[in-house]
Amino acid sequence: MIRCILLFEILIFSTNTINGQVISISDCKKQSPFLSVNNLDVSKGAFSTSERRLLGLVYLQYDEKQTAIVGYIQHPTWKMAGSLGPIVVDDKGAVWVAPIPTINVLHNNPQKQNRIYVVDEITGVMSLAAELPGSALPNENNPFGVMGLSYDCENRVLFASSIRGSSRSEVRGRIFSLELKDSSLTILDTLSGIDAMGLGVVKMDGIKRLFYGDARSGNIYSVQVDVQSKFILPARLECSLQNLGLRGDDIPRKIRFQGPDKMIVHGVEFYFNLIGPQEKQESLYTFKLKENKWVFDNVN
Amino acid sequence: MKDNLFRTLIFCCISVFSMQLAFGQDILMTKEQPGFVQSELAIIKDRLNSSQPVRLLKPTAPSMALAEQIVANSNQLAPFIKDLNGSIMRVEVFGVFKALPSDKSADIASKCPDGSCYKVELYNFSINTAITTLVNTQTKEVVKMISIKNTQPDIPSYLKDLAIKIAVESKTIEKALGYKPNSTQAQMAGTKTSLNKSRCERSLHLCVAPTFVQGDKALWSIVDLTEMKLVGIRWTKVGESEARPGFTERKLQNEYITNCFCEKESKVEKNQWKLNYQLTSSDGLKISKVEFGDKKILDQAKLVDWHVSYSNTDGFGYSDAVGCPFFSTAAVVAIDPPEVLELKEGNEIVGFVLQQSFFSEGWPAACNYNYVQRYEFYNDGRFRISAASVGRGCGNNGTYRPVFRIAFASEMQQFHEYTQSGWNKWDSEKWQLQNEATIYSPEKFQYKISLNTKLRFGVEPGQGQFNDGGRGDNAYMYVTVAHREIDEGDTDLMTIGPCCNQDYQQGPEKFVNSEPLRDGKLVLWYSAMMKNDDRPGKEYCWAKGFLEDGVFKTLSFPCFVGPMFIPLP
Repeated sequence: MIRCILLFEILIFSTNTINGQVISISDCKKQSPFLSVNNLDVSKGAFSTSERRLLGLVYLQYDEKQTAIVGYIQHPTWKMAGSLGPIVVDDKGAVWVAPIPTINVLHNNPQKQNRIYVVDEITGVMSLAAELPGSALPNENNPFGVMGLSYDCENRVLFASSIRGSSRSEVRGRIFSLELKDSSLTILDTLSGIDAMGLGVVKMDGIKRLFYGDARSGNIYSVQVDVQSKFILPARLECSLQNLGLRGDDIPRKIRFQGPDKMIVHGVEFYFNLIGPQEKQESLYTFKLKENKWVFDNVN
Repeated sequence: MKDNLFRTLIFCCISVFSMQLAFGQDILMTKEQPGFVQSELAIIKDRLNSSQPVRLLKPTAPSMALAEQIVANSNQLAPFIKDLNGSIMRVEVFGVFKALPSDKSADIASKCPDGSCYKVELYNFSINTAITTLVNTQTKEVVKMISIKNTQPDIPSYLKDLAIKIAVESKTIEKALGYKPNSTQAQMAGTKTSLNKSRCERSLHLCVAPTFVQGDKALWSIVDLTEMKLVGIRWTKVGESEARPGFTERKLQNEYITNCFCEKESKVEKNQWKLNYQLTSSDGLKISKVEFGDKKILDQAKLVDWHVSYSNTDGFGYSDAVGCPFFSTAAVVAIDPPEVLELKEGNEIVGFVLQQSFFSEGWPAACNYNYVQRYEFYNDGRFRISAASVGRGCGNNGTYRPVFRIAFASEMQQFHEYTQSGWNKWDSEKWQLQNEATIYSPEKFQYKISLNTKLRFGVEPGQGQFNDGGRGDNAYMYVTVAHREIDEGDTDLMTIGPCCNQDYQQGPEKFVNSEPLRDGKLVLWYSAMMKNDDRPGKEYCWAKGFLEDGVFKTLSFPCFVGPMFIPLP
């Protein structure tokens, strides 16, 4: 709690103030129509990209108590991009995913990591939706590309973060604002020189902001987004995961908003390598908006 | 074998300016504990061997002393003192306080009706757990006990003093500051009452951060009180230091290894050997420009992949690369620096070893890995390129296959295999398996390689003869042409093979296409195979934890493989 406030006070990134309520605008997902065709109980199902023995995207079926996996479906095309990371389901039921190598790059060619794939909501077939431009080519020390996705339900815009081409000494990542049209994506705007991982889009006092987690420091920043879904600089520091939780060096993998004043950040270890711990080291950090500042509340 | 070797200190990246990292002697001196640490360890051992193994704080107030006695002897605490095997864990009382109204929840308020309740805070070093108890000294009852894993209470003064002593006696800190500090200088003004806690998220040990202010800079150190050693240091500006430090054990270790061994090449010159070494993104510890006397021996050698298979049927396993911990494609990373060690046969020093370990955090718990790379250089010109798995992996049915890449120097090389009819020269790229039918020369060579008319090496694969616990290599040898115009592994190779192929398809076969060798420059690829074993007394590629002095240590059973190269007359 102290840390978050302290950073806010010490580092002057912006004079914007935060008042009033926070409204999540990224949770409008619709059940994918192709799931109904397959007679699946969608009340006990979920998409996953993190099953240890299953490559790519799967749709898991859980038992009555929703604690044990009893089965799964996987369209043959869902393995085409290798190991995957972020998942976003849009308001029509299309599923947007991006590749992230896990443990090795056998199924994830580093040249093909700056991509976004979409699963068609009707057919369930996965296809390439976009190859994002990087400011640098992948290098032998950084096999990653797209790391985070977040969906703006109001404008049907997908935000994507990428760290492609970054090195220890050079930050070459980008954040993209992408317009959804059918199953393709068009770049509306780009922020360069940012290595971001988790993203979360929200409205605060009627102003849209994209929150992003810095993949190097654990800090969480936000940048204003205008009505055309273009970014308005400067970014401002909101709070940080530094020294919080069990590990103290977590990086924000995913950012979501809940209720009028709550931000939940999924924090993981990330040192731009391919370690794959058996037990996922992830903590959920809750921040609450108090007196215009995001104050650390708890960690689970 | 390691016990027969003594350490050569490696100095690297001694800190001289802000935000730099410094390590050096302390890392290598941790196994040679100073006297005050040995004294502290003796106190701990005495306590663990006593009938009441919890170390008490012994406060002067009789009621507080009674409170900690009640807790230490209570049945509720018993599960935190002995593990499931009955081994004693290190538990110490960190604080005894008069219970405040806020300590008494509604359900226990009736059990603490007057001022006779005390809060006793304990810490279990073995499982990194804080235990908070509420004790009624009138009824002599523990009315509440809560344990929180991976949490530490505020440390007592004797541990604060110990942490400061470890810091002020450190040569690394003395070198960084330019003088030997005294204990009163080990705290910042704002933190006099307690040391700032610092994260040891990798080891999950109890760590604190003594800090030394020098002008407008502050030198932060991380001291591990579980192992009683300095973890690392970092300079910051004083303004930054007033908050909690923005670094942790893992950050310090990763940045140190990256700065000193991933982004820099190091050199060893010892006896007649001269070579460079460097940690790679995914090919382990690479040696290069290896010379013996006036002879150029190797262009480079490295460990490209580890393939780990857990089933002969469903293809489950991992393909791991080993390498640098920060900005790399390694799945198992270097945490400690490379070591240069003396190599002994009996009491005789016969050469030296260059060795590097790679760890998964959590090792030796299941599904975590530890690999060792080991280069041996003998005074008589022999050398061995080897590696071991030190377990533990995801099961007792694991098969490990490391893949080495060895590029000899010289432009005119020939490769021979020993057969029933004698030495048979290989004329084109191919592979061969070492198995039960393999025929060895009288000197135990399976192959020999000629670098020119005067320099030749016999290649002796492991058959369990190297006195390192190895039980044989069962290796595929691949020989390919080294191309100047095509990079077939000179630079860092990302994962080249899948986890679970059980035949020659371990990755190097991609470069084998029957191309004529033409007495040119060659590359040897060597992929050994080891099966792990967890049966008591027969452990191999295995590791298990055990309690020693109240904290968990690891008993390891490495399975070394790799060929010896012997110069031929």
